[in-house]
Amino acid sequence: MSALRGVAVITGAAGITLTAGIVSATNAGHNQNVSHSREADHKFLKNGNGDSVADFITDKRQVLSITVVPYHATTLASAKSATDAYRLAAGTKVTVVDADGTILDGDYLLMSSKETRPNDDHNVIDLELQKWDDNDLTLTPS
Amino acid sequence: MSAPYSNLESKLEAAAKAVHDAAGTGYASRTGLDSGTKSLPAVLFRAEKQNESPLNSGNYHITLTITVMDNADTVTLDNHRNGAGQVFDVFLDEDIAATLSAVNSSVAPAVNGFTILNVFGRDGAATRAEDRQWISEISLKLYGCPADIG
Repeated sequence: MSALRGVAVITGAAGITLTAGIVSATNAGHNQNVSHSREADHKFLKNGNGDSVADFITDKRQVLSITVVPYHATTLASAKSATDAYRLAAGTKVTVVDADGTILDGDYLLMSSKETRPNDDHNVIDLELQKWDDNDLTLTPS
Repeated sequence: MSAPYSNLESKLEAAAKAVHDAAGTGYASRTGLDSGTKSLPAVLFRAEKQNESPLNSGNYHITLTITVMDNADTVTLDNHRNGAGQVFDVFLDEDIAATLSAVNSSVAPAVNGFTILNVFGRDGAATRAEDRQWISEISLKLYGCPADIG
């Protein structure tokens, strides 16, 4: 018999910081939900029976979706500035650092940013970021 | 197995009491469910509503309710709310999970093997009058386990 006394697990999304395109020191945001996936294009080679016997994998990439609530500690005007700072144009390079792991770390290309302002709650920003295994975004994209 | 076993609610209550007592709010503190046996003013820490997640891990979502009580015959509502606010400020802190986890077993013997991993929710202060007492409460929705997780 072994008593269940707990295990170490990662909790919350606060360990992820976004820099470069977003200056987190002055444009703070509370991370809400983060999802990260590793994807690729697949080309299947099939035999005469139609069964896949090989998979050509290309364009390996990572897709990061993150929801942020911009805020400022003291002024509403600065919270509005923080919101604007997260409303980046598609194509901005954003550097991601994850305190809870290493896979997420790196330079991402911003695919889209979306702000939602409901009448009965605070605003939220949804960011879609993507990076590729064979493109480190060394050159600033335009 | 040996004491204090895996009783997360006892450990959480003991840790919260130790954190409160170290802050010096002026309120006498106690733990558990016996809210009517000691003199006022007082603050009561009780843990309840445990749900294990993930199953077979020993990690639990657990609610810590902090109740501040004053004698309504001798303490004004404003003074009660000020005192309760002082107690609540100790726990409405962004580092409260680490603060609770850091309570040393030498300070609170019941806290031997105990970790709060994160805070997943807070219910702000609600005040009511009951049996000639002012009663104010907050609740913290915590996630932790009855073991030391480094």
